Amino acid sequence: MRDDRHRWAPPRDRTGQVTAPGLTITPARVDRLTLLSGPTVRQQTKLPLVEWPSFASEDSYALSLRRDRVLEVNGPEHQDGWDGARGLAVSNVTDGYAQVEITGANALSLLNRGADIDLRTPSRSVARLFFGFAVFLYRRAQEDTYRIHVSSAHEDAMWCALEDAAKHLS
Amino acid sequence: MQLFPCPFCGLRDEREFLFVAEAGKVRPDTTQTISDEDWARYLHAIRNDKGAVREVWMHLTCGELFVLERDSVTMEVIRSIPLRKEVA
Amino acid sequence: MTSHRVGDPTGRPLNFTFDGKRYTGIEGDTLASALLANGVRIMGRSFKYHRPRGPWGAWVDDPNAIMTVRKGGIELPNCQATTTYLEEGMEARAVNAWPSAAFDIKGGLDLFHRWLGAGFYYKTFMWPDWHLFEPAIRKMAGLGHVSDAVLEGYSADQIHDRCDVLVIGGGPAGLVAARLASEAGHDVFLVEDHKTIGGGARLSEKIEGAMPDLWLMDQAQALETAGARVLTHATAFGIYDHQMVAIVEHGRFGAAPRLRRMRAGRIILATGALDRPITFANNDRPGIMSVTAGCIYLAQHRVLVGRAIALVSNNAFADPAAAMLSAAGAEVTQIDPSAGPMSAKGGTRMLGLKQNGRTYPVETILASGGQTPLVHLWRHAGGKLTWCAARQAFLPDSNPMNVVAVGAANGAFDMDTALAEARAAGKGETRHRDEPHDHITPLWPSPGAKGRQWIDFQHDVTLKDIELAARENYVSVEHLKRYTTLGMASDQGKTSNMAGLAAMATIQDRPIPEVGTTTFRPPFVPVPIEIYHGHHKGQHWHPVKRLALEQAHRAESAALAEYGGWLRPAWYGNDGMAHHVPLEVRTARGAAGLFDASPLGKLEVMGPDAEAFVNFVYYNTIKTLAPGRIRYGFMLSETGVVLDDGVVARMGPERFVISCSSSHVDSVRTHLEAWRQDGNDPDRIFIHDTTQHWATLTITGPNARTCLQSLALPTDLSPEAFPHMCVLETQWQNTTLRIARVSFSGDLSFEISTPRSKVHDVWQSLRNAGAQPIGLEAMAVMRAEKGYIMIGKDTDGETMPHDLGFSGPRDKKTGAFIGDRSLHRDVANDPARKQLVGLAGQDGQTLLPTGAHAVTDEATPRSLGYVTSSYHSPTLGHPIALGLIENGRARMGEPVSIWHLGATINAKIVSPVFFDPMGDRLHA
Repeated sequence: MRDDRHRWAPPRDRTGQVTAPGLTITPARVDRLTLLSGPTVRQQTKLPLVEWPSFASEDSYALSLRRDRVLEVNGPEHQDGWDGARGLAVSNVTDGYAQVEITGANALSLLNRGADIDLRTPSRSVARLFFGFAVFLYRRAQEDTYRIHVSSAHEDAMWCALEDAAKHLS
Repeated sequence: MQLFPCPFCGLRDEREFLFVAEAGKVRPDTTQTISDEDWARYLHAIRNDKGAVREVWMHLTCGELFVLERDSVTMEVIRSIPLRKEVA
Repeated sequence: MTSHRVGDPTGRPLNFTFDGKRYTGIEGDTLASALLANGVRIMGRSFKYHRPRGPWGAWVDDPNAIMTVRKGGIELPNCQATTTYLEEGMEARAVNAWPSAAFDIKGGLDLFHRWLGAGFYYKTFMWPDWHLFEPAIRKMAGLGHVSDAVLEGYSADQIHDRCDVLVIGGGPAGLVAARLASEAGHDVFLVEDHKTIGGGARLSEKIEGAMPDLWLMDQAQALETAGARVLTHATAFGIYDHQMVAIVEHGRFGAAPRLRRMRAGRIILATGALDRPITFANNDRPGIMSVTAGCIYLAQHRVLVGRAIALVSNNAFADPAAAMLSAAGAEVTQIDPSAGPMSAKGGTRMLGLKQNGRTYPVETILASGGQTPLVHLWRHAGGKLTWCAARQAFLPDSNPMNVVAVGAANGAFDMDTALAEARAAGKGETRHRDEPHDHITPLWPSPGAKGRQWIDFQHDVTLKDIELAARENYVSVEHLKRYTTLGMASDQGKTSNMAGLAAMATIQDRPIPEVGTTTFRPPFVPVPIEIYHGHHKGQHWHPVKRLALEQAHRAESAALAEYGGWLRPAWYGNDGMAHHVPLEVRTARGAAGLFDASPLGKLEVMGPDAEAFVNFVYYNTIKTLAPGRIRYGFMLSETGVVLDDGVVARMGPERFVISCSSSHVDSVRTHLEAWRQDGNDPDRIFIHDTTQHWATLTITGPNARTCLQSLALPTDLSPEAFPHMCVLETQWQNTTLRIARVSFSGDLSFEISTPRSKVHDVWQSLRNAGAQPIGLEAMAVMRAEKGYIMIGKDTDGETMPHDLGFSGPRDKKTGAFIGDRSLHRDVANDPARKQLVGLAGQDGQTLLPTGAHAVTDEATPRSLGYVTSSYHSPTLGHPIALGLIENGRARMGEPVSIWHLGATINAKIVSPVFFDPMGDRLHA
């Protein structure tokens, strides 16, 4: 096997923000992410359900991912495993994702570098491919603000993609 | 670059989808006796029609499995049919 | 000077050089118009014969004036002089010419033309071996070369966009269509490839009763008022499925263009038409241009292309063109091309046009053999073509979905019809094509005609080459194209394809539509490869997944490599693999090794039917697995072939964790999800991929337990309380740890999973307890010592579980499982199946090459299988190997020949378990 340690740049510290014309990219922290699946999970979650292009306006909300699955962001704590009484499969996945927030007048323009992102086309799921990564992408309450959850192992690659795309903004 | 309608998510870019199989095949009950011919037909017989086709696709980002009717020549998408009923 | 600027040019002067000489043009010029304004006519040399060439066209249709352009340290090859806008300080050089286009040393090649016809290279350099000649021929061929300097910082933007109506072409038809569509309330996007809108408008005297310039201002104003977006200096170069249109936005010279992926509800093609060359003797000489080009240089750039002009045309634009050129001061003679064979006289300097024994003393010939609608995009979109005898052209036929062609692109060569079509299209109305006003006289190549008659200017294909191809039976257009290279240059036959296929039609006495066209494929104009990948290049082409501990590994001098999409430590240290891997193996066997196993899959299967489902997707029986226990097993495809191996842990009655191989997580998850929803009740089974929430460390070796006990967990880790193949959850520093007693090394091992954010603490604590880091290469050696397989390395696309020695479930498992019936087909029972065995050199010292085949001792040896894994075992002090060998288990102890690069190594078949066959260390 070849030693490629020098071929791949080490992941950078992503605690700071990046600015570009009309745009700020910031890491976002969440306290808890809980994956909940069940036939009636969309009805069962007590948190406001976020689809596309609705807003996540509270601190706690549930992302609609699929027909029978939501991701609770900063929701109540649940016990991992199968909850037979409520018919819910529960997994804490807090460390499985990194969060990036994009805000500014050019935010949508930046997003359109990574995928065809259209506010006029609603979708019941916030899961989509973006720069080739499977992400959850949705709007926050503040104007022109979008939040992305990307799998932790691709956090650095996502930042690189956003930074590269931001270079083309003017 | 095609657009496919996920029954749950709506129209999405084709890169989000995976072809699974032609629609209509039912897995034989393998606890019963199955002839080599029947099993080979289940494994390998593929229609690969020119024109209107019915296929099973998966929308990878949401995981939904559904039937897609489309035209294999013009690439026209006719409709998608969910395999699951809507929960009220 | 023949060509020159007329009137008083306004606009900023721009200085540039061509082949080392200084010139001045004005803002708005292309390189070609600026050179013509300076009286320069020879702008390139042809590809094969190095014939002097000047521009034929004034835009994308020009095959001749190809240049390498340099500015500000950036050099770009393959620039069309006719579409490259002039910028201050440009240095242009003609390609394929040295020292200059006007005087080219290789011009002498033209004298050998008799021997250089189609197929010359195929036929001549066959013997003894084409590869002997290839380097020299390659060096002579080609049009320009790429400079390394170009690539620095040359990075293309890519953007997705949408509109209701996309209008391609900013000529009169496109403008009118866009205006009406946007006034009807649609979101309209108009693309024009010039820097200014207008297209052919300036070639008309009046449009809708107004002067062209005033009319254009009106249209631009109306579009702006209606909210239409207008993008100039951008080319729609391809239409893909479902109205996805690729648009390249050119920008200033040297900047990477932008790719706009436009998804349009409806597409209106107003792409216009091109003049076709007329095929006559020496029709490639500098000074021969299309009628339209001559008029565009005048109307757009105020350049008159000649003083004494012969205008040779078979269509209605001849008269207005002649009037326009005469008004600018040229002496124009109209010549009927059907009156007799013609030939151009002169070489680098045009001396005249000869027809029927008479020579017209002109220095410029403007020719048009009819108009060819630009139907490239129409064909990309799946539109059909129909042959129109009156226009002698292929026209758009039945509409593909949501695409319509208008104006000259649709065969409406007169302004009134073009605008009527555009109005209908803009309003979304269907309109049938009008009958043409005039029928043009067919004007196609006459096979057998005298002199050298050019069909493809850029690739130097002459009428004789087409005749030769026909004689040698390359008569299908697709064969004709590849045999002669007709239409295969960077202009993709915009000027040549029609003449070529018409010549073939005449030779074979078939109608033109029966010969047909070659396939039209994107891109319509050459675009840099850069725009296709954009950001996705280098490290970003397929980004690796990063471990939470990458910085810690780097701090321990880890050699990192990509394994299954993850960047992982291969070994630790700076002295190379051969040095460090044996040390790491000895450490792990002798004390305790610490291994980052985070990429291991963690797919949780939950729900009332979880047990039945896991039992169905595994080859092995899982339903008998008790909570807290772990079982090793295989997943198969329906063909019975092993897809993946790994352990499954039962965390509770309705909860399993599937630990699939690191590189198979995505495929296994998709495989399971498909089976969950098809054939099972998806309301009773749920699959969560928690792989990235958890990081996993493996501690292995005789000291593993002691090291782990140093964490002071509230758990009894003794072999009695926590035996092999068990799992438990415990707490450490307010964090859940999941500990599994499984082993891939064959030694006492624990897999400790912790949320990703806590793994650094666990790693550090175990390092402090004395565990030494080991990389994936050491782990690969240790598992091979134990005969543990790696799927995809020690198995191939035919391997079934009983080939690996796991035949129990095949014989005994009750209940259905994926792949079950396939394990009882004839092929599965074949005694000659390849089985997993160990292999060892007879001398005990030779390392068998991985991938080498075991062969029979017959005169013509046959493969019996091959070596799949091979290492020096630091533990045993001799080489070990695994392989897949026909009927291998029955041949235990037998000799076998391993063939490698012509030599044979004597080896024998042995047990695949080289180390600790009784498993005492495993259960310690």
